Amino acid sequence: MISVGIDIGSTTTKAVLLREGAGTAHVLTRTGNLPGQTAREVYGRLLSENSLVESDVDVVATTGYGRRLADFGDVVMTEIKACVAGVRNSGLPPAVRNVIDVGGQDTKVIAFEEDGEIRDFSMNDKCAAGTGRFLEMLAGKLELPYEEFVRVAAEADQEIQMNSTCAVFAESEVVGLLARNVSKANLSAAAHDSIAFRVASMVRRVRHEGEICFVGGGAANTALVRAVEEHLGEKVRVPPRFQMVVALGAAVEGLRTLAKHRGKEGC
Amino acid sequence: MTALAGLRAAADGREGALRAGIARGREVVGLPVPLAPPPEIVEAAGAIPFRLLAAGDADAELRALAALGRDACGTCRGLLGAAMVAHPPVTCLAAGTACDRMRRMLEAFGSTGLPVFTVAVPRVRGISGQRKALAQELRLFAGELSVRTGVPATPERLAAAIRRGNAARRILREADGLRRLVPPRATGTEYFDLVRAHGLLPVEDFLALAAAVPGELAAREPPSPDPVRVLLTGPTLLDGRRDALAILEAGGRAVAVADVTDSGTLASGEDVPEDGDPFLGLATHLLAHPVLAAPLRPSRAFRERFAGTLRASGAEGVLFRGVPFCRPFNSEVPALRLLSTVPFLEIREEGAAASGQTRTRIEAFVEMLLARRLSGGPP
Repeated sequence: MISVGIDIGSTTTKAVLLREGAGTAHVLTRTGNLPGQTAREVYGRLLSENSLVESDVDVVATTGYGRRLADFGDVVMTEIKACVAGVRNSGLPPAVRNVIDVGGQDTKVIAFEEDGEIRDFSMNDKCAAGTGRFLEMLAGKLELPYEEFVRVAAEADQEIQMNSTCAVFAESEVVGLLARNVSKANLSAAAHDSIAFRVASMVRRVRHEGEICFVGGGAANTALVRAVEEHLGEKVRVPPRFQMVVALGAAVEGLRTLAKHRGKEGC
Repeated sequence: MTALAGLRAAADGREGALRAGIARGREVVGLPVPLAPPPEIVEAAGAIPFRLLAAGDADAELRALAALGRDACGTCRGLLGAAMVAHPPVTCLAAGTACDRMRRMLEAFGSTGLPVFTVAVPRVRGISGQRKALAQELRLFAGELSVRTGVPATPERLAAAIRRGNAARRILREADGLRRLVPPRATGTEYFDLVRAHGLLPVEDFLALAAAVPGELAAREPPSPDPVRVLLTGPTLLDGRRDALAILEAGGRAVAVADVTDSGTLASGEDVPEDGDPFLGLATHLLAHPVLAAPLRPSRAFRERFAGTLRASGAEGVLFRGVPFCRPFNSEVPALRLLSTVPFLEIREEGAAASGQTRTRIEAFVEMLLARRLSGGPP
């Protein structure tokens, strides 16, 4: 059986093709202004890159904030459910029971049981200050490419506290700090620390026993992962295809739903 | 057309009928939900009670912002905004006060040019003599309104209005009971449609149109598979803030089987005593079943109500839909979480329409409850 999971996020759209017993393939692109259309394009690209046509696919599962904008999905689910399924199929040790997902638009922390049942979850409020967007915005303010903004955080030599709890106020605060000749490295570290503090608070609110993993676009940011580890006082695991985890989970859940449906029909 | 559809249509078309009534010289008293004097008094004084609902759109709330300030909750802003934008078909307003912001809202209502009657509803229960004091307050309101309408609210007229009001409450309670059955025979959406019609229609019309609704709902095929059962709480779910309810019940996977909200079962409650002094009876009812959860003070009374409803409903999850700045409700959330023996989801969002994040949270909550039920895990 072939399943495709498509995670239509606010910043990027990810698609994973899952062939039962034959591994996976994936595609990632920026979402842009037309999420439904982007999802369709990503799906088409994934099929053509794998020499498949739509009729070869048994089930398409969509997830992410644009999950209902793709009109060709067979199964729709929240990214919370898909994320847990993805983490459990990402080759991480079974001791992992908590997941941090820092995306462009929001941040989620999910705690789950050994069997994958979601125990609790938390999402940051409608606020950019706890998301990847916050870091992108501050990188722009410091006139640094994002990768450079992440890299220089490791060169910080002074601890600066960012007091603002709002992305808009934080931007003003950065302007003030720059005027006081605070280095870009120290500012970058402070910004990462500010987000890590928020993420760690969310983890403490919902966390379950077991280890923690970090997925989503935010997991690519080594400075952020390090800062979160410091705040939590423990190591955080990052799976190899951290950005594909939710799409993979959608594909897995799609297969499961299909199997359940066929089982019922068989009865 | 089903009885419920007929009731919905009548409620939707109510404003036009009221405008025609006003043109014929009738007095229509706007009662701001969620806190208002008993509509029975309005009827007894020969006027037509009409529940004002908060606007469900952001524009109306923005208009009210200037009058109320940012620290007023969305419910007050929605109510005032609706009055400022839509000019409801009322000739005066009658309202109770429960919090300082509500008082400010009523002052702002006065700026719309409508006369405003206020009734002071005590915020704390259990004070000696308060039942008699509230009865006297209601008597004064009845007297003032009677002067305006020219129809005295005699005890006989009031007693008759109370009997009709109780008949309407029995219909609401019957529908409420249907959503608590396993599997539920009514949804929260259907129940709140009844509550809305109850607030908008004259009681005679409501009785005529709604009497068949519970029987009609009970006769339907029960939903399959059995949806997960959720208890709703938070300030109000009657008007523009039904977004959380709509998301929760979409697709039939979950049903709001009970609620502890200002505009749900709290508003209907048990019957008003029909014997003795009718004003004392209304005061007794108002104190025992306040239209607003906030006056269920001390907090213990509110928490006991929440815990009792949770137990009785067999809910598998609790959804709190709050609005920023609604302090009386929001301050209870930590206690409600502790009391909750089932998963608890808190949504606190400003504005009338739910964001994508709210949708994701509620849908994920339902997924979580469904998975728990399937795995036979802890409730």
